[in-house]
Amino acid sequence: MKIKRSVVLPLLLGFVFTSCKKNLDETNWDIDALTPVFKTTLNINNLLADSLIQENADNSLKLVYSNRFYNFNVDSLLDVPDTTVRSSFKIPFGSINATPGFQLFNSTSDTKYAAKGAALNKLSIKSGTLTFLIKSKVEEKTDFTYSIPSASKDGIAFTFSTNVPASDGANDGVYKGSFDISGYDFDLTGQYHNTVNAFTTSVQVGINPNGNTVIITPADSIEVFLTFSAIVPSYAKGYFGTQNSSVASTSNFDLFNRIKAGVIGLENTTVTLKLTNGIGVDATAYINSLTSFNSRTNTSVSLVNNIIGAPINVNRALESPYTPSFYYNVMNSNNSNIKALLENLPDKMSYNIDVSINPNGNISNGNDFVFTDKLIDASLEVEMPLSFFATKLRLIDTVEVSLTEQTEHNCINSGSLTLKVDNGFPLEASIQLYLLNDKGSIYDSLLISSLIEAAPVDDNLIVTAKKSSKLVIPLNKVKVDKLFVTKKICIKTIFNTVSNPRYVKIYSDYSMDLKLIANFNYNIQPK
Amino acid sequence: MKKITLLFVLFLSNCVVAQEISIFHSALDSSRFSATFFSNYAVNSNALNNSFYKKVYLGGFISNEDKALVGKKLKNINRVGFDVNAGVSFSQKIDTVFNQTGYAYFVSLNNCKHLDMRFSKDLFNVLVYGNEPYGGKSLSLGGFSASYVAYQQVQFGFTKTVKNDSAFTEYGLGLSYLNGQKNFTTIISKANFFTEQNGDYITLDFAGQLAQSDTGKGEFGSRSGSGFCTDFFFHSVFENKSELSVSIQNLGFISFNEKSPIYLIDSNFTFDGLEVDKLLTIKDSVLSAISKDSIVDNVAIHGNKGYSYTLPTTFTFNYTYIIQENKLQLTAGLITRIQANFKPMVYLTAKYFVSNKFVIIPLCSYGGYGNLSSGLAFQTDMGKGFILAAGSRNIEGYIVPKKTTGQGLYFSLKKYF
Repeated sequence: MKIKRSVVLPLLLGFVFTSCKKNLDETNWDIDALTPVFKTTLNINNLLADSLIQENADNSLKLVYSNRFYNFNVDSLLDVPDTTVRSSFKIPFGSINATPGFQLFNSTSDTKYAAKGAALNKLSIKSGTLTFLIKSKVEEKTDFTYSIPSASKDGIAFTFSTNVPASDGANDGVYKGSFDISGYDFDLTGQYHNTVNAFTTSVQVGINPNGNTVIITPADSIEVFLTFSAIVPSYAKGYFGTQNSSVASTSNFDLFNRIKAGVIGLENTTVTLKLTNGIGVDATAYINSLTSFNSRTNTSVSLVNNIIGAPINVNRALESPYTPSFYYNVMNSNNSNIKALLENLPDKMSYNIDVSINPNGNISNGNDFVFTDKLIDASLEVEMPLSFFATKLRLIDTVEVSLTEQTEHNCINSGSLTLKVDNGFPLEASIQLYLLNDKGSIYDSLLISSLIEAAPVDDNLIVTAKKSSKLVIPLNKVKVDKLFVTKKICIKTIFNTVSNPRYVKIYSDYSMDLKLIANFNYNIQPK
Repeated sequence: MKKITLLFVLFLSNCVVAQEISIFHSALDSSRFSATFFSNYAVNSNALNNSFYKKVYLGGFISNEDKALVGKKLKNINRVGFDVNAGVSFSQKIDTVFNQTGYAYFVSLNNCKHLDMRFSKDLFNVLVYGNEPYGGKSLSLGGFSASYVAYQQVQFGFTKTVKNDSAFTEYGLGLSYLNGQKNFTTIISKANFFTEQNGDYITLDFAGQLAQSDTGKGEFGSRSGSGFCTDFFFHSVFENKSELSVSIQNLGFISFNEKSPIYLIDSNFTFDGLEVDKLLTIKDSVLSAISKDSIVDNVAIHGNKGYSYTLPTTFTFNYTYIIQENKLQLTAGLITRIQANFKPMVYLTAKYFVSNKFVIIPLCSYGGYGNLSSGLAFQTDMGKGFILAAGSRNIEGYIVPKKTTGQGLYFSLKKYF
């Protein structure tokens, strides 16, 4: 027994010596880490979309922005309602001993389509459905072929064949089927090309060759219900009639969307009202009112210009080659209050517009045309030198963030982020960051106490050097955790230009260097 | 016979206390067979203290107080070593070999782990305190080396004993096959590190290499390499009963396979922030650009290929002088280890025979991975052929762990048949 203990003891000790479990997972210590994280240089192209910025000869910049506030509704020009056409076929009198394969009917005719107010001779279908419902009183299965020679796609006329079940004497034999007619072009001039809104159809009905001989009487009719539904045209030609429409509505104006408050003064703003007529019809428009509306301040400014209430005649577009027609009216501080209209920092434009189509009747001799993606619209073309003054101009932007995979953030105890800014813009700014939850609600903020100081300028208000600033964002563990799980960050920036109210120009070579430096007390957990 | 057995134990104690457990010397015993189980661990440093080891190895928060205690002992260059060994052996005397007597053979199976590291004061400080406290200062992190190896050893050898009336000489040779389980070796010859005071940029002038054994393996018994080593032993007992012994252990290498990642870096880095084109799209994909993999891809020449690891080889010399036979003897020795950051260690042991079955052995040493150490060991004849030896050559590590830098325990149990 003694021997056994003597053996077991060292074996146990040996096991402990060699297998004592190291536990690096629980070894940890804190360090103070200081490191740059990222750097970037922002110029005006980084702050505004490239498409909005144009450079002048003197390297100064101008902002070019287009806002289409009015679109002509194609439905008011070309209404293609769901339509059902009924056709019936039967022998007029007597009776026929119809053997298998016997052809009962072979008919070609024009079918009228109800196009409200328009006399169309061509119609191309962007999308739509053609549904057949065939009811047969013939007491034998029939072979049915239906074609629309005036409707073709890629040069092939629409046609289909089917078997219609026999009637049992009490109930009709019924066939129902639907066809996608997207991409079909319809010639609506009829089989003799002398009418409008009519397409040619052809029907052949015969006794099925595998059937039995059956006696056909006038009571043995075949009815065809042809339904056009959800028709969306892509092109139409004809005479669209004289039509008047009036629209009073509001559209978004997103040029100043990020600006939530403050005062801005703009220099030499020019706005061109542009009317585009993409339809092959003559049109006369009346802009009864155009009002900028700032929903944040609930203020509105209506346009004052001699175009208001005056007829604007816009010629028809040319079909071949396709050439839309334009009308321009340039507005500036000399002929309008357009500057005040923009300085209202609108987020919406409300308008009241009357449009008359073919005011002089069918002067095109039935050659009006429309491509349904090329209509009539009205837009404001803003051309604004980046020469302005700003007072407490508050910009708010929300950016998506995705840092959830960086799990090391759990190790940050506390610290700060320092944003080092070398500002080359003649603007001073303060920044505040807000963390947003999934629903877009603010649930925490990152305080930044310092200002980004404006770059110094000379007598001509041209920047002479960059100005350095440091913005420190203190963080504790709770804020760090929130920062790394947040999905969006709302950035609120308040701008002031130097030398207000003198206008400050922004040049293409102005830029701002940013560098983010992290200083964290970090818990090291080697694994 | 008991006397001879006890002499064997005493001699074994020399080896044990010297951290080197050997299965040579079986010829001293009159028994025909012997089997031994042994195990030991030892860690020592000239800077890191026992409290620090405990938290690194067993887990825990390393406080600023812990760091400061280490900081007091830091030199410009510091070292740390760690050994864990366990094994079993069997030996048998052979009556005659080619009409010669005095031969014995032995076999053993051992599991060995060894860590050897050298680091600068600046490296320790920046690792445990971070770089922020050293903003604006140039730090020298170079002169760093670290190697860790784990292997299993199958050893076969023989001993030869030559006796005359009052003295004898014994020598032996062991040959081992080594199963390379895991290795990590890195040498950083140059690493000058600078953090701009405000964190504007960080520079690192770096030259180093890293080799790591097959990362798909590494578990106990897995083979990511193979090697061989030899052990030599010479021991002589003079007529006045004083003794001289010399040994060489672990003279060999392990070749690790072709799947071993190798990295070579000789670059000067300056990091002043990740260049971001779109400031408002800071996402994981942006931050991942500074991931370890992307940095390695950019700055290191790396690939997989085989390499050889040279084992730290230990040389031991000692001399034993009998002050009072069967009562008290002194042994002075020197241990040195090549291919390691091990300073030559001198030691002195005194063996006191409490009885003819129980011996206590106090020890003091200087050098090795640490500095001045003291130890205490004992051996006892447990009867029925069982000899137990146990002790520590860094007993102070368990008494004042915050102030001492070494610790270690060993024991062995031998059975004679």
